[in-house]
Amino acid sequence: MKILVIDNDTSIGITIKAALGLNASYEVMVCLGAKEGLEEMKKNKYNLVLLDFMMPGISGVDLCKTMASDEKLKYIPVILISALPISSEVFQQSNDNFNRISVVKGLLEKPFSVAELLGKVESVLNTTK
Amino acid sequence: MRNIIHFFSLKIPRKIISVLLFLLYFAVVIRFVLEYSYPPQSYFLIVLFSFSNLPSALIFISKKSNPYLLSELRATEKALQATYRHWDSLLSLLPQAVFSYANNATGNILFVNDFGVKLFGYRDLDDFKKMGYLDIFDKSQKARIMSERANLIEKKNTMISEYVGLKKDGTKFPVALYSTPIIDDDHKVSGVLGILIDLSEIKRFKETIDQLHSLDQAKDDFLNIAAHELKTPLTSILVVSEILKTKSKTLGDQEIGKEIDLLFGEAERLKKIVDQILTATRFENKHNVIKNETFDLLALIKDHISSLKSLAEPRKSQINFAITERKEAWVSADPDKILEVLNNFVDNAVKYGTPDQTIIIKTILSATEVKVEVTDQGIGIAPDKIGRMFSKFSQLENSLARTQEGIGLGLYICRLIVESYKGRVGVNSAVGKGSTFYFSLPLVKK
Repeated sequence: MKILVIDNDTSIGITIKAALGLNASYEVMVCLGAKEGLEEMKKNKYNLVLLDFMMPGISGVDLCKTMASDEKLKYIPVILISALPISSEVFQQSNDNFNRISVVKGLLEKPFSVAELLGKVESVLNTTK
Repeated sequence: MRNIIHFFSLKIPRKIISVLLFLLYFAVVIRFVLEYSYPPQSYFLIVLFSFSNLPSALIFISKKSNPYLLSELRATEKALQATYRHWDSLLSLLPQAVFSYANNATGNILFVNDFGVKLFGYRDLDDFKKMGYLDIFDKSQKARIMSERANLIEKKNTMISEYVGLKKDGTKFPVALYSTPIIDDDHKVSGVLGILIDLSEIKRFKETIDQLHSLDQAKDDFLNIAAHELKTPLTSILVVSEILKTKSKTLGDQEIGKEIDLLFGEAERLKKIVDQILTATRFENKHNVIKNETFDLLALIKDHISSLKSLAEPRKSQINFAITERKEAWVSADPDKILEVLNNFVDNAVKYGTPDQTIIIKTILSATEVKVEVTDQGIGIAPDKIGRMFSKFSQLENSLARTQEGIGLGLYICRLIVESYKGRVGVNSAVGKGSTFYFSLPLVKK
């Protein structure tokens, strides 16, 4: 399973890579920005993208929209990660219902535990198989 | 009663009418006597008639010789004077300027109370009376004041305006002016009565309050941003220490394992604090979607007896349950949040109670609400502290004397949760005997 992590925060990239590394079947690649992430997705085929909600420049939500309208990328499931209360309905409503973009398959709020991360990744991969 | 009577175009003082009437009466009678009798009898009759009628004429004209009327008049005058003195002293006592001014171009000041004289910095009443209505306000507002005064006089009703007052020494200050026209017997506006309130103090208070509000908001914003910013590095610490924990087990190094446990534990503690700050700000700002489920609170507590008991284990406390039997208590709330409240109460009871104590969890059902009490056998709370138990950062009040960890948001969050479901929280306590924390929720139909 190939997983792409896109987050401008270097340590979060390392952290997620280390945690997902506990499962030997995951192959993790980290990108530090939306632009590089998009290029990487177009170059190599990924099964899942873990995406930071808020990034300088192109935000996670913008990237999701781009992916949803791209014939090749619209089948890649995305898990959005943020320190903001992204699971709260009120928050979603005041941010254009980003959770309804077709590629968004999961939401993960910081701080999360290893089990939460692995569980979320596994469940999204299972439902989109 | 008016003292002047209009007779065609003549203005006649009322008093003259009785005199004229008597003169007419005398004239008719004398004319009659002279017509039908002859002197000297007629002169005798006239003199007799005049003298016999004089006393009543005097009484009628002057009303002065009637002792009863006179005493009544005096009493009335005295009462009026007393009333006047009463109101006059009230007016001078009033901590607001009361004044009246004439309805003419200059608006001459007719009257002003002591406070008004002092407020505007004048020497005395006469000094103030030299002024016109327009002189006691800032010149820049002249046009507005004039038009509002004209409007007031025309419409004959009470008005409230905010102007800039002008003291004798030229100092400007904000005022509120309540004015009402004085209407005379001819239904004409003879002047205006005004009450003037100095707003400088109020304005200062308002500014201070606004400042405090914005500081409070800034503090909340800071906490919110700080908590969010803390979350990202916290994620790395938590996840990496958890990974290390797993790895140290496979390596079998007990020493490192212990240290990693400590690291992980502390990171968890930090996470709890960050969560508390965020929960509090979210509940305060109603960001949270308030989840509403109808459930049986008694059943919920019964289902969680074992997890509640586990909270008491670290300090070997016992928990006794006194849950109302064979009854249901349906409430509308978020069961997870309500359990959070109960857990917090029990957690506090364990922390602040003596070891080996028995904690009692009791439910009380009334017609309208269900109450849940958690009683410990702890140190109790001093009476002066009870009032602030459910306030924000209650622990920070005396940070040097703190005995337990935490930043004092736990009970505050409990209050926010319970109150957002229209319930109440409270505590009864006696020093040395222990405390009873309780919350209640209104009952709803199943």
